[in-house]
Amino acid sequence: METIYQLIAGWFAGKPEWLPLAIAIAVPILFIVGVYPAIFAYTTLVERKALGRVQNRYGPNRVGRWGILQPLADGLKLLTKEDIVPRDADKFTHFLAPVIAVIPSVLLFAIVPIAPGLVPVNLNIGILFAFAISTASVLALFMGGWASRNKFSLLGAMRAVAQVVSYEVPMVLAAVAVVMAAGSLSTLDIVKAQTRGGLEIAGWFVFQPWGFVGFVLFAIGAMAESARTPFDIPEAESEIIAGYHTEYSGFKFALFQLGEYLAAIAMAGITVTMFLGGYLGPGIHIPYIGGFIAAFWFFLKLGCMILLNIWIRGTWPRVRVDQLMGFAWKVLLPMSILNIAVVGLWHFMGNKVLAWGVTAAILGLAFVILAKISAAGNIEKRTYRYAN
Amino acid sequence: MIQQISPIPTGMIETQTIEVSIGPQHPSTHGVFRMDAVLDGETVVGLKPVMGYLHRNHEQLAERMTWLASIPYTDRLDYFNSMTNNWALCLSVEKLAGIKVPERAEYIRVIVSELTRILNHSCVIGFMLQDLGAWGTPLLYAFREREKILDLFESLSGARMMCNYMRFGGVRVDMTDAMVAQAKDIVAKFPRFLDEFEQLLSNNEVLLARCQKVGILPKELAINASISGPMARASGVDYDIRKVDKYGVYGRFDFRVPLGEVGDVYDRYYIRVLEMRESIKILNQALRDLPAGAFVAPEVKLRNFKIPPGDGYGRVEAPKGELGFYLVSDEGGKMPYRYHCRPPSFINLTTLEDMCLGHKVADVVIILGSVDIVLGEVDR
Amino acid sequence: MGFLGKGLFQGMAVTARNFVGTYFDRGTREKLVTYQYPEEKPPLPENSRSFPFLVYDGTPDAMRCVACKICETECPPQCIYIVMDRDEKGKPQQRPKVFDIDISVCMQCQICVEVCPFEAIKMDNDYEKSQYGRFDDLIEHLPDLLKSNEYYNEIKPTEAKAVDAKLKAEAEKKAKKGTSKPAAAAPAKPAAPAPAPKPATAPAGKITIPEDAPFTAEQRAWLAGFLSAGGVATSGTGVSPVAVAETTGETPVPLPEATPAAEAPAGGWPWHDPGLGMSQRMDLVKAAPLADKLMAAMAQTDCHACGYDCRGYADAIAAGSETDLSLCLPGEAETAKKLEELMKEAGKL
Repeated sequence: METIYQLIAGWFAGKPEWLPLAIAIAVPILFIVGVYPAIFAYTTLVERKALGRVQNRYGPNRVGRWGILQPLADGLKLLTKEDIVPRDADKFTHFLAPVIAVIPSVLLFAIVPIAPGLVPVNLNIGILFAFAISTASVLALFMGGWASRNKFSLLGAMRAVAQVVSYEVPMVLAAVAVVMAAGSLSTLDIVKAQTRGGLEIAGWFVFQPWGFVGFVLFAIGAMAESARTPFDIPEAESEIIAGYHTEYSGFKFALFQLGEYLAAIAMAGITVTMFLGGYLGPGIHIPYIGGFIAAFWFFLKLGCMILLNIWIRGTWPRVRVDQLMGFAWKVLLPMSILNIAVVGLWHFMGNKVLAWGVTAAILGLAFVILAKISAAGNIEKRTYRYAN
Repeated sequence: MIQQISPIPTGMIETQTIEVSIGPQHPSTHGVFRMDAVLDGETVVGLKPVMGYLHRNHEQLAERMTWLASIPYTDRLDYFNSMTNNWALCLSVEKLAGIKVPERAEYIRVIVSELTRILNHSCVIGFMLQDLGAWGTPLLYAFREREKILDLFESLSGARMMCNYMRFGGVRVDMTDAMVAQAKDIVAKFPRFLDEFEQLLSNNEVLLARCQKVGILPKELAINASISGPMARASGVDYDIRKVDKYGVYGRFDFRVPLGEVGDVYDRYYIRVLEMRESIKILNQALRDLPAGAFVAPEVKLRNFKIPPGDGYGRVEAPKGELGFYLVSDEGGKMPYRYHCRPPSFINLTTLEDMCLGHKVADVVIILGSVDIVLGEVDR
Repeated sequence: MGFLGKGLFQGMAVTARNFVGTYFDRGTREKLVTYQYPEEKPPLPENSRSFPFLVYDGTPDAMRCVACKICETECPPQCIYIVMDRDEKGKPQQRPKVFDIDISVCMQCQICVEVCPFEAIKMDNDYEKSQYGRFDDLIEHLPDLLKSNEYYNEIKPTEAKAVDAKLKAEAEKKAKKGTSKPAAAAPAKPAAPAPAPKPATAPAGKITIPEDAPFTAEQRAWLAGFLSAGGVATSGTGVSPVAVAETTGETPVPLPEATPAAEAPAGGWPWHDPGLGMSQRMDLVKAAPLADKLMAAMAQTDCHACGYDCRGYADAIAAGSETDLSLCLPGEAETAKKLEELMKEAGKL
């Protein structure tokens, strides 16, 4: 926003003072409202096609060439569907829930930088803002589940609350490690901190042992936060039908989907920003087109994260609700706390090569111990005998 | 509506159980089946299976029509395994009427039944993973292989699922050399698919964590409740009708019966994988030894087929368990006086509550998936 | 023993392999199995079956079906409805007036095909039967059901060739018997004598071979075979549907006779002609023994719906080994009534 304002303030000399400001505010909003929902629409298409290919099918290919107009057709279909509200539902809350579901997801994009200096709002508490906002989405899920007056919806809503609240903790702690290393809560500063020695790749936090662990923790947390497989228990279709949005149809259902996918994309964006170097990549300092190259790198990384999500969704089964909680509190939480300590160690060790080895050893050992503990009594290798 | 059933005081907070009707319209009840579950939070404290939504009066229908006309109806019992259903009825009638089945027909029966078994087991595992939330990927891999078997069934019997293939005293159509070659090709490629399937699933930590120690069926209960099929064998009950009765020509084949120890969902899953490997062994032997000759007993009439008075029970090891038909023929003998079907799905389902109590809602659906039911057979 | 999570990554390798594999599946359908249905259709194997249809030779008038109603009785879901055609005087015409199959009820089990002794009903493989209506649109009437023998040859070449060859052989045998009547030609089977010509009832436009035509036995046989194989409409003496009745013994599943029927006498049974009416037939047996009277009461199609041919059923009733008098399906209530009457007359009931 500031960048745009500085850029265009000169052009509007003599015009009323609010005009450039208004434009500077409107452009990022239009960008967020225009570009990300389009990404959402095509994410659904890509997801369906990729899942289809994973399952030896074609996926949607009937509407337009390669099914390119499928999202449009889906949207039209959902718009023209009957809007059903259960007779006993709390009608106002039932109506409000999908609206509220979208708002936090859109707000999340405010702090995701897509190019040097190009971030909708350069908040100095950006990461904190992201966590505060993302937790708000659980409110919408619970409202929807409660207002529907359906036992499956209620079960889904309760699962959603428990899950989001639990996974918030390891996620924030994983982010704390990054904040400690970068020394700032601002997303732009975090990206800048990932350059080292003039190279745009080597400094990415994911290439440090603590950064890699943080990346895995954060990615798992992000998956759980946006209820993606294998953590999609709030809407586990084989168990509780559709969870909190069982009783939603038509465009309200579409809004829930929109909110959920936007949250997943925004979380992927934040993961990219914090661990994968954001918009960093070769060629971003070329004059004039450097910004576009940076945006290209950012969206490429974002796309990779989304594809990883889809790939996982096509492969893994879903975990159970108590295992989900156990995993958050018994594995992710100790690991993220240890990770914070390791970042401190990294910071105070001068020799970075030695620090790399030591931190990797500590974290690896911790992982092995935690894995042994969590697997003990839950997972066993079995052999089978044959009858005579 | 949230109903108050009995408040369960837990410490300071007073909680209530809720009654949830899982089904008859539910994505993972495998048809129109309903479970009246009483939940304390997410934990199941009571569960009552409700059946009968798909009741089609199979037994009474069969008592009003000729022996022959019942065969296509048995296709519709367990619509995944029409071949073994046909066989069970034909076996009972052949026992009752004292019909001798030609060698070649017996071998063809073994071949199609074992193909049905691998088809059923791979798809059941797929359905179970679907219930686990794997987005249908294993299921569609299973369907990919099933397609090849169904293609063979279609060229053999004319239909993919409702084969209506067996006749009293043999089979309806002979298996040509091209079909034998097709079957050999399927059998040769199937182990590769099983390896892929196992790589995808058997070591998956999520699957292990979800399936192990869930839905345990103790050996004693399995025997007392007359559980049969892979479910009983997963609980460690050594009972395979192919070995016990040696019906058909099963006595001539070399195969083993895998047994589980714990009797949980994972055992039921893995026993099926092992049984598929044994079925491949049987298929290889049967296809190798397939003799020439008649494919149907020449003395058996199609129209006005009559059976002298008497009763008989014939049973086969269907992929889901012991499938038997008890038939009584009376004066006239044109149609059964009594026709009773012993469906494995229905009887295996009776222990559902015992397996589900104390587990979570999410476990109920995979326990149901591991029981392997087809509602066409449960309700008949 | 690998590290925790190894199984998860093994699984991801499998899915990745399948994902990539779909792009290199060059029509082998090993990895990309879908048939894009309206554009491409999977090839149907010859045995594939959908719904039944009725076969005719040449023109639709020359249908093989004689309305014997065996399929109607044997059909497990009871989806076939047949009314036999009759002329003004109420004489059976040996073909259906109404033949309806409710394809919403039909379960494609092929039992009607197996039990048909006349090779008249066969399984189609056309599965695209969707209609807009739920009720009347899904009932196939006689004109919808009739399809030519050429069509049958096209969809099921091997099976149809076997059937054609068999019918031709039967027709030749029939024609031969019609003139030189070697009764021992068909040892296990009843040798039905040649039916009398029926100039009055033969539909116009049919080629018949009158008995007084100047043909030798060989010529007659060749001509009959030629007419049937060539698809030329034939009826009456040569290869009428009645002649086909003899083929019962070789339906797809071998179907031996219930009781070896008596050999036909040298002069044949003059009443054994489905073209005659009940009263005409009864006139012919006025002085005959009971078994012949009973036989004359039947529909004379030798359809085996009762489990015998007409001779065998009559003998079985006369001998007392068969007590059910309602087994003659083509004869309908008329025959059952007559049989009862005759048995009462004879004092056996």
